[in-house]
Order: sequence, then C-alpha cells, then structure tokens
Amino acid sequence: MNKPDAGAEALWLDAILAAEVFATDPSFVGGVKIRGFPGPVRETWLQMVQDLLPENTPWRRIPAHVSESRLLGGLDLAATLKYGRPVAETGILQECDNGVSILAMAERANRSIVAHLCSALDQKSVTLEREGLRGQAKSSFGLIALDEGLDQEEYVATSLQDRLAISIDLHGISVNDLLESNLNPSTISEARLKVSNLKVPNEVTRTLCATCDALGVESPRVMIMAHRVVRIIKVLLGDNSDWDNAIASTIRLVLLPRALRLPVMDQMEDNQPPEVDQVEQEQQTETPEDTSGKIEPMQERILESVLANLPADILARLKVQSARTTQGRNSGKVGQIRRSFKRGRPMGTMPGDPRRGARLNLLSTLRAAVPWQKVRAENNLSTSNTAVKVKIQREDFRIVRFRERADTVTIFVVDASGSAALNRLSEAKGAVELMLADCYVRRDQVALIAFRGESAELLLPPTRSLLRAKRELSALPGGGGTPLSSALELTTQMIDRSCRDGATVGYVILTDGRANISRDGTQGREQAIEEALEVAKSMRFLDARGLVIDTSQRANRNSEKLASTLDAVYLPLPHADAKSLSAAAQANLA
Amino acid sequence: MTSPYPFSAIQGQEDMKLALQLSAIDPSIGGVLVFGDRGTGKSTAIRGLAALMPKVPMVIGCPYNCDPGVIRSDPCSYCESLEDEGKLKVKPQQLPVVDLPLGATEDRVIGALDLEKALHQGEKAFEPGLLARAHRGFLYIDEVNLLEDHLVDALLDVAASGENVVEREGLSVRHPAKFVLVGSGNPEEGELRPQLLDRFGLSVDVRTPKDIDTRVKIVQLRDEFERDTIEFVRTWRRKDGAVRRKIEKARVALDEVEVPIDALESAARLCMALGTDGLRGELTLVRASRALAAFAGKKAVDTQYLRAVAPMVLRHRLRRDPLDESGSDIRVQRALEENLD
Repeated sequence: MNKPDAGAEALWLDAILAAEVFATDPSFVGGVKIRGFPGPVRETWLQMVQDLLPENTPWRRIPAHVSESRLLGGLDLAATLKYGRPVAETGILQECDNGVSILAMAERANRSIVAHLCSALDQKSVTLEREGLRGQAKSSFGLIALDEGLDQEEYVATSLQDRLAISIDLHGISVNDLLESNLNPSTISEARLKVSNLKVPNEVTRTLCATCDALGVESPRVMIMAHRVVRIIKVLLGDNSDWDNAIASTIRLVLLPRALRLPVMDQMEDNQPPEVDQVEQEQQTETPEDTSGKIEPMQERILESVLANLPADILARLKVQSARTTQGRNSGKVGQIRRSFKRGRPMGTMPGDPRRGARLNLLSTLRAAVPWQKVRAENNLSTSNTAVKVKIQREDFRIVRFRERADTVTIFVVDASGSAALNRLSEAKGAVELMLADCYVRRDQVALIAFRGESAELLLPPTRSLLRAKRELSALPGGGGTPLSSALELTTQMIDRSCRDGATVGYVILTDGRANISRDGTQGREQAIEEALEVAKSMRFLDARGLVIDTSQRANRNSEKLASTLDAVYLPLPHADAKSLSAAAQANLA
Repeated sequence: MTSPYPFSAIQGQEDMKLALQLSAIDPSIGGVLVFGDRGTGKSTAIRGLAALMPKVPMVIGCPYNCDPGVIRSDPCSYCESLEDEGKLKVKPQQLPVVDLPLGATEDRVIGALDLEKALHQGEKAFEPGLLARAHRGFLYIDEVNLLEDHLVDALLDVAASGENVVEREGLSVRHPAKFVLVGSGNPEEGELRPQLLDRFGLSVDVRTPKDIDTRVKIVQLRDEFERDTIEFVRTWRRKDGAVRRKIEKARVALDEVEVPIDALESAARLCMALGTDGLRGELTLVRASRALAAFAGKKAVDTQYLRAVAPMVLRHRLRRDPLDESGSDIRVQRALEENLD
C-alpha cells in the first residue's frame, strides 16, 4: 500500500497520457470515460486536464439529475412571468462550447440526457425546440463521463460510451501511486496546432483496423476515433517518435477497454487467424512491391507488446465487458422508467414546476392564482406589462399527477444440476419457454438465473428480448451439484434491484429441491437444505410473488417445504403439462 | 454549423441507402426501419441524404414548413396572417431532418397548448411540436424500440395519414405533417411490437462491414472529411449531385411508371404465400417497386424490381413466433423463388 506498485503506476501513466490527448483537442477526441470513485485520484486527474487546457476554457459540470431545459437552454419560466417578456436561459451545453463538460455519475444519467449528449457530440451543436424558441447553437465540446458504477450492472449507457474515444480506469490507483507529472501546457498547445497537419500513413490505419477486428471491436465509429487518437499521440510523442508507440498507446486507451476477445498470442506464429491472412493477400494484390508482409508483422508485434504489458486482471475485466455488450442494455434501465408526472391515470394535482416534463393543469393553476390577484395588482410587480389580465406566479403552478402501472419483471430461476437434468430438465425448459411466450404477449421483462455446480449465475438481466432469453435457456447445460442457497441469494438481489427500479416482481423457481452445495461451496445435503431454507425465510418478506415448480419425478418434500417457507405457490411438474403450468404461473404472478 | 457527411461517400450499406432513396422518391412508402449494430452510419446516411435533396421553397419562419404553392388553398394560421399583411417571404430551404430524442414528451412531439401565451396573454394558442417541424422532411428516431409505446403509436398514425390531429387541453388543431419516418435500433435491446413493425414501409438490417479494406476506407474517408470538410464536400458534390438528379427524375417519373396487372398479381401471390396480414404488404410492395423502377429510369414495373424490394418490404411483416430464430429473409427468398419466375 505504501510504495507505488508497478501495475498502478502503468495505469496512472496511461491516465496522464489520456489527459494530454484529451486536452489537446477535447471535441475532436469526443470524450473520456473515467471509471473510479470520487476521491483525490480522480480530482488530481481532472485538475491535470484543466491545467493543460488553455486558460478560460469553459469547464462545466453536469449533475446527473440535470433537467432538460438546463441542459439545452430554453425559456426561464419564472423570470419570464416576472418580467413579462420571454427570458431565455442558456443551456449548459451551449455554455461549454469549445470547452469541456463533465457528466457526474454518468451511470445514473437518464436516457433523455444521454440522448441529448449523444446528439450534441455527433452534430457539434444543440437544437432548441422548446417553448416556442427555436434555433441552433454551436456546441462543440469534449465530455468527461465520471463512471462510479460499482459492478457490471451499473455502467454508462452504451450509446454514450460509443462516442467517448478514451476510457481509463482509476480503480486500483491509490494516492500513493500518483507520480509527479511534469506536464507543460505549452507543449499541448503546440501539439494542438500540429495535429491537423499530420497525415496518418496507410499502414497505420490498416493496423488499427486489423487490431479492431482482432479484438472484436466492431463499431466503425470506434475505428474512426482510434484514428484520431493515434494522430494526437504521435504528435505528443514528438516528431522523431515511432508510429508503433503511438499505435500501442492508442490500443491501450481506446481499443482494449472495448475488446470483446483477446487474440491468442502464443499461437500467433503458426496459427494465424484467417482475417490476418486475408489482409496480407489483399495487400499483396493491391500494392505488390512495397507494403506486403510489412503490415501484418507490424500489427502482430504491436499487439504482442501491448498485451505483454497488460494489468493482470484484464481478462476478468474483459469478461465483464463482453457480458455487458451482450446484455446491450442502456443504463440498466430499459423500459423501466416510470414518470408518474407524465402519463397514466390522472390522480389529482399538486404544486410543482411544469418544466420537468410534467403537465400543467391550467384550471387549478388559475384557481390558485385568483385569491392573490388583488394583492398582486396593488404590489404591481410586473409594471412592464399592464395588459396582463391574470397575474400568475411560479408558486401558483399546479401540475397533474398520474398513476402508472408498473413494469413487471419475472425472474426465472432454473435448476440445471445433475439431479435436475435427470429429472427432465428439458421439460422444465419447455415450460419456461411457454411462460416466456406469455411474458412476450404481456410485454413483461424476463430475467434468467441458472444454478448448477458450485454457484448460481445470472444468465440474463431483466430484458424484453425474449429471443435472447430463449437462446440462453436452450444453451444451458445440465450437470453438477445443486447450490440452491446461492441461487436464492442471487434471486433476492435481483428482486431487490428490480423493486428499486419500481417494477412489480415475480419469480419462478424450477427445482427438485435436492440442494447439496452450501454457500461456501462445501458439499453435504442436510446442511445445504437447511441453509437454503434459511435464505428462503428471509425472502418471504420481499415484495415479490413466487412460484416453485417441482421438477422431480415424485413429489418431493424438499421443494414443498421450500415453497411453504418462501410463502410461494407450489406446483409439482408431474401433475402439470407445460400449458397448465404456464396458466398457473400467469394466475399466480400476474 | 458543420456540413453533413456526403451521402455518396458512405461505404457499403447498400440496402440501407437504397431504402432511404426509395422513400425519398415516394414518401408514401411509409418510412424505413433500420435495425443493426451501433456506429454503422445510420444517422450519417439520413443527414447526408437530406442534405443532398433539392432545396424546396418554404415560407420563412413558418412553424409548419409551409409550401408556398399550397398556401393558396390551405394556409396555416401563421402563413394566413402573414399573407393578409402581405409579408409572406419565401426562400428555398433544405429539407428538415428532425431528431426525436428518446426522452421527448408527448407534448413536444405532437404539440400542445402554448403555455407562455396562455398564461401571459390569456390566449389559447397551439405550440407546434416536432411533427410540425418534420413536415416535408425526415423524422429520425434513434433507438425506436426503446421509445415509449404510446409515442410510437402517435407517430405512426401521423406518418401514415400525413396529418397531425391534436385534440387536447381544449385545443383542436390539425396541420399537415408529411415526413419520411426513419427508425433505427438494436434488436438486442428489445423488440418492437409486431403491430408497429408492420407500419414501417421498409425494413433493412445493417451490419458492421467485416472486411478490412472497407473498414480502412471508412476510416480514411472520415479522416479526410474531418481534415478539410469544405474540400471533401466539394469533391463529392458531383456524385451527390448525380444522386440528387436521379432522385429528382424518379420523383417526376413516378406517376408515369406503369404497374402491369401481372406484377400486381405476383405481388399479391407473394404476400399470400408468406401469409402477411392485411393489405399493407402488397401496397408497399407495389409502391416500392414502382419507385425502384422510376429510380432505374424504366417505364414499367417488372418482376426484377419486385424481387429486389421484396425482402425489405416483407421481412418484418411475417407472422412470427416470437421465439423462432430462423431468419425471415430465408422465408422471403423461398417464397420469391416459388412464386416469381
């Protein structure tokens, strides 16, 4: 802890490079995503970026709960009413034109904010179309997204991530690891001028594209950004520097954080991936004499050197990354946003600000204003506009409240252990598929948890994509022990999370109840069952309806007991075909 | 304002480009649904296409993008008052491309009571929404599959009828809103309701180009564009111009293109074989193949054009088991082989 360790030092050096690259041309780079908790390390990094930027560069912080009108600008309603003429307010995005904006708690940012940021990053301008104001304002900025996500379930919206070129991770760097950096703003400003004149050689582009391919990075947008970053890094490294170094750094900063797979380097020599072969062939046919054979070793060499210097946990992180992309969800909140001020059944009015998308109830507003008319006329606050018949002030606003039906999430917990496989796992799968089709009709969301061997696994976080649910399910192998208690624990977590998102949750457990693996991974039937019942007791108090489907051949005391402990409905599979099962599920959960 | 990336400089994605051009030729085809990976140039293509389209005369400042040719017969409130005062000014303008942000509220999309005027001048006025702004142009919805259902309903209804009818808060307004609806999204993130799928005229799948050469080319062209936008746009202007002329010619020729009775029959047979619900499939099939024939400079539709547009017209209309993974493209192809010869 006390002396800087080598891994953290390398990470910090990368972070410094990221700061330099970003500061060179924020809007050209697009942005940086920093994963890390608030603290001195992050503050140091931000301070560094700010120091590198030219003086008086706009530097605005966007809070996660920013309102749309604050972000884009619009009519300042309170001021407008007060002065009796339209008063416009400038949005944050407009203010940080040619500067930098920082999105705090980016993983919590709601989708409309993300959508606005994306379109501003794409078009380098914001379009105003609010409250009768219409216009376009230039807004070219670089975005620093502060990602404070704890686990893989919390992360920055993928559409936004796709537009931020660089991604760095400050986890694992402690204050003690920080090195003194001797950065000079003047070198950055020199670099700024040089970048636009630098031309990237053909083979560098080709190497980057091939690397993208090798790492499973598909989006052309990412390639384009990598191309920009490599240019800046080359300039920063100096005129005499090698392109190789620039490429290696680019791969670290831009491509590796998005990598979905790692090429196997050991076998690279004798067992080259087919696409590299193809590159070589195409290269030869195009320009036979000069570049053939040069590209591919270059790519290989660079990749190799980059991979050799990777921090040890990269594979673990890769796994997280790929899990994320297959999830493909947006801020973990697809379809779950419930705005009770926007739609649903109206349930009365309340004082409030109609600016955040809430609907103003004109009648109640006027009614609230009427008693004050005389006083206001005497005070004559709005002298400028005597034509105004009714004087309405901010505190008169009444907005409509709505009650909306919550989303439904159904969590399927499937026992795929050896005993269950014996006991007709395939039939259980069939039943789940049928229930899935039901969920599709009802537009429910579905989550899938499977347990076998040592522990339970979340195969599918809540999603509407039934196709994927089915795919995961049919690919589910059977065999191994029955870690029932850890499955129940994972289910508890899922229920908890979905409830926090405001959904109505139901769960369906398909098991034969023969638990034989405890939480700590030790075997032993009695202990495991006892433990499972223990967890089940605590689940009883969760706000979710449950259904336990017994998949064993003969009705089995264990699952029945589990169901009664859970306070869930018990349904033995032998007595029910898939159809009636699904009907029962619907009756009990809906 | 940065100028958009030239349409003709977009590499690959031929399906998507064709679908967009067809709906630009005949907006009544009913919009395009683009499903596929991120960062594949969906919005770039739409912006590029809108930019190369010929400028059209519009009344300056009119919130409904009024066509001065139409004003005589059916003026909007804004143009009417201007014309009475004789202050109507017309200027050729670029077709609008309106982005529908995900978080947009119903008020902002279809329009609502103008609060400021209501509170201030006690006047009941309508504040036009995004639909009015998109009139005569394109309405682009990214991640349409994540849009709230009730909004998509409203949108598709307007897109189909070409008119926005607002009945709310004591307002009763109708205004023209003819636009090409372009929706995009990633199917991994959730599906679109089948009822809505059917409303889109064409649907295309976009994939990230897999071969290195195309990818290198994409990066290089983009780099050139960023390095010197003006020069880049100038180099591609001729190609963009060629596309524009082709579209313009096709628009004019569209009415002249004949649809022979056996082409109609083939279309009907195809739809029956695939079991598409309703007649929307046939209608779109005929319209799209007519647009394609006009695009190719032909006087009549023949099976070749039907064949070319059938996948994008029918792909999303097949009745489908939500859990069935087998691609609908294969089914369309099979039906094509069986029914067209």
